Amino acid sequence: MVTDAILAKPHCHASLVIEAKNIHKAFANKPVLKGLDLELQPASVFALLGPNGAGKSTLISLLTGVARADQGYLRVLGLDPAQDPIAVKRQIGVVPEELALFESLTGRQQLHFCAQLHGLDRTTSEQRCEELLRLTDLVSAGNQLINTYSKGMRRRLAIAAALIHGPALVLLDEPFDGIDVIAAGVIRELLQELRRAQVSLLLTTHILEIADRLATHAGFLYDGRLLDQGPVTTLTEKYQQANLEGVFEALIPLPDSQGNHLTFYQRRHD
Amino acid sequence: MTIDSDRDQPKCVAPLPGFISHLYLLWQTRNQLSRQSLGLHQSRLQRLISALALVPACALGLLSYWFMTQPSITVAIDVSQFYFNLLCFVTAMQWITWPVLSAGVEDASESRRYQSYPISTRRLLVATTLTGLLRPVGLFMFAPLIGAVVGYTSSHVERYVFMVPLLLLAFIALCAGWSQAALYWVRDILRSHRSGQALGALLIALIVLGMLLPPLDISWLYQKNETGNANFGLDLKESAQIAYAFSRIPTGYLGEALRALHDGRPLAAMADFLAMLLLAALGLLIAQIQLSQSQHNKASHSESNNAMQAIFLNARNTHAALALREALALWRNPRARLLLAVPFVLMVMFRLFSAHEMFIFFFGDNVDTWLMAVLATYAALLVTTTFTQNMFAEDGQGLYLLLAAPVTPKSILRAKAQVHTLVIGLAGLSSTMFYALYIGQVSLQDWFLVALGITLVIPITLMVGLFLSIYFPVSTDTSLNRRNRQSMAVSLVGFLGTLAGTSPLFLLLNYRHSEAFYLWAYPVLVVALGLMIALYHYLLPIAGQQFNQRRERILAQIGRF
Repeated sequence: MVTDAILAKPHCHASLVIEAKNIHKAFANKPVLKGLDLELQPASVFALLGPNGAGKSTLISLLTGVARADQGYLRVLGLDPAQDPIAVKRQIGVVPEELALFESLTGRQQLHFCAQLHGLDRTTSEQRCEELLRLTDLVSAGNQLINTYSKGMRRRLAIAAALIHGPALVLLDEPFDGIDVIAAGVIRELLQELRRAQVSLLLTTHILEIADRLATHAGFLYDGRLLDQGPVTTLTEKYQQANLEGVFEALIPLPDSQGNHLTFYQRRHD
Repeated sequence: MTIDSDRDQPKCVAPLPGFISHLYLLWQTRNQLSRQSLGLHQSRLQRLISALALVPACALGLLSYWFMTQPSITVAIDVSQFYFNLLCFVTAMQWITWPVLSAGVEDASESRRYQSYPISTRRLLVATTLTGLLRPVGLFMFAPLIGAVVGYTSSHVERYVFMVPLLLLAFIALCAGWSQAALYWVRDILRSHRSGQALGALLIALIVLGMLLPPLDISWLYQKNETGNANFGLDLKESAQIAYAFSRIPTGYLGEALRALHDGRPLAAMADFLAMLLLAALGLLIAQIQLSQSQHNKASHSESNNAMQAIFLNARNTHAALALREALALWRNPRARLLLAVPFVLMVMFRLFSAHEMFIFFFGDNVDTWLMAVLATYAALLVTTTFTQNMFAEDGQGLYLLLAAPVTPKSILRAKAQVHTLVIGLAGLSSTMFYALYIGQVSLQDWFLVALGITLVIPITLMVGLFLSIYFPVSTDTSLNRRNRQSMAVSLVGFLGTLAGTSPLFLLLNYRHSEAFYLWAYPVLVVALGLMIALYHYLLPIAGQQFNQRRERILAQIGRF
């Protein structure tokens, strides 16, 4: 169980954890976000859903201050990540899709290092590190170099590293990508734990079943714009669907490849 | 069960590309990758620099041709034979040990890259070896050989000249094949989780060996004979004996074959040709075995030292933690370990082959200070061109973590710069100390002069390195599974930066025998060092701003963003 000591309360009292209005972002003159609006309520779990290339990872990079928006209004915990990046970074934890880990460190060293970056004292760092290693089932692998870890172990460690300073908001980009059932179970349990602790979560995922199970709110991102967002129950009622998968299919257009067939394979009819 | 017949069905599997097609594909891919590593199209400037890189190779080729056609060399076949065999020996040794000396182990990853495609490991190795020959480094290796072969042939071979190119190609294949074997051997050592211990043990064994073994007597190479003529101290009989001894080892097979052509024995030359091809195949076979085995070995390493596990807990503050992480990454980087060992290996070889005495013969007793400065510069250069001018490369995706952490870009740069200062300083100064203790006789004041001069390299290489890292980042991989390189233009700028840093020292060394030299030389170096440090502190915030502005591009270049 994540203790209250790990999870800090937000340092500010913003009514919205994330507030984004008309956000634009382009890479090499190619627009990725085209006027995105998004709101995240405190203590909610927001599932950001959309196909590959919709701009989900870009949005997360903007929220963390790693990338900067070209245009628009963005507040994270009431702060502007472009103007006050350090203050924002102190209160958020991020798990990017391409896991940000140092291969030459051991799992334990990675957690200690992240604790130092957030200015935690020695006792707190040590205590939280061991607790998170237990929670992510990495105690026995804690002294191994990360370059020997499996994908599931890396993802669990990355989540632990994002939590070590007790952030008020956690951003998770595809936390269930390419991992086995056991690792997925550990991560799901961890996220449930964070949800119970009233930590605000924004997660992107392709697995709509998980989004259904975890999320209180959802948003559908397509071609750089948020097509709709709101509480999960409101969305399912609005689109008269049983779950988020149905809403996704109702909102997101099918790709052009649908209906095409492979021509160079023999097609068999039984 | 029916088959839908309204579509074109493939009747059979498409034929695989032939060897020539594979060769062309690999060559093209290698060119494209080197261009894409910077996200640039090949500009005229880059083409010009690539062409300029061929100049030293061509010059070496012409020089060896000129040497082999000198009357004092062509005076007798035995003398020509001796120098030709010596050149072949030196070239082959340099070629084979190049993967070690340059830590160019990432070349090995090229073969892994293509292993999932339908191409046999053997063909892949042969094709990558052949395409590798067209790199500037490859040209640098065999250009002197071509010059020497042409020179020797024009002087001594009259019949069966058509066989000479074939023999030369067989010798090049021999060197390239064994160079591949050395490449995979070094790579296996570096990838093993005991690489630090293995390299350390090898280095210590070499140093001890160098102390115990009597140095080779090579004075005959440069001592003049009684008449004072330039036959470099050897009489004809000695030349013949040594040439014969050289021809008994594989590096002498080319010389032996050319001698056979001179003697009118084409069958003997053919036998040497076949022997060289067989040995080349053996080298490639060993490389192939190493490549196949390395697919199954994955390094795993546990850090059992509790003090090391808690290393970040002992950090005084965030900056110390950043610096510690950077230092730990370099400490655990196998290439860094190898590069730091290379100058010491060279100095042991220097001692074993009595090169020190040869330099004293040619340049006088005072050459030690120069040699020490050159070797220390080389040690610093190895570190700066590999790591300092591409500082973010080793971080990989970890850089995202740093950028998402509550630290400023300037503090990230400052921590990196401090660790690189330490490593460059350590490489340079330890080389000077090793030289002074192990090889030459250097006075304390000369040692201080060189040490101060080498310290001068640090701020300038850091400045150059920071800006090159920010503007031309290229991803590398500590597990040596991927291969990307900065362009030749970028490497050249880094190289020139180091040379600029050492230029005050080398300029001063010219005046070492002037009156009261040390009284004014030290202050000049101290002032220059002060100026460099001031300039570095002036430029660091600018580099921090540039890093902040370009962070998205840097992330995209070194990882996935």
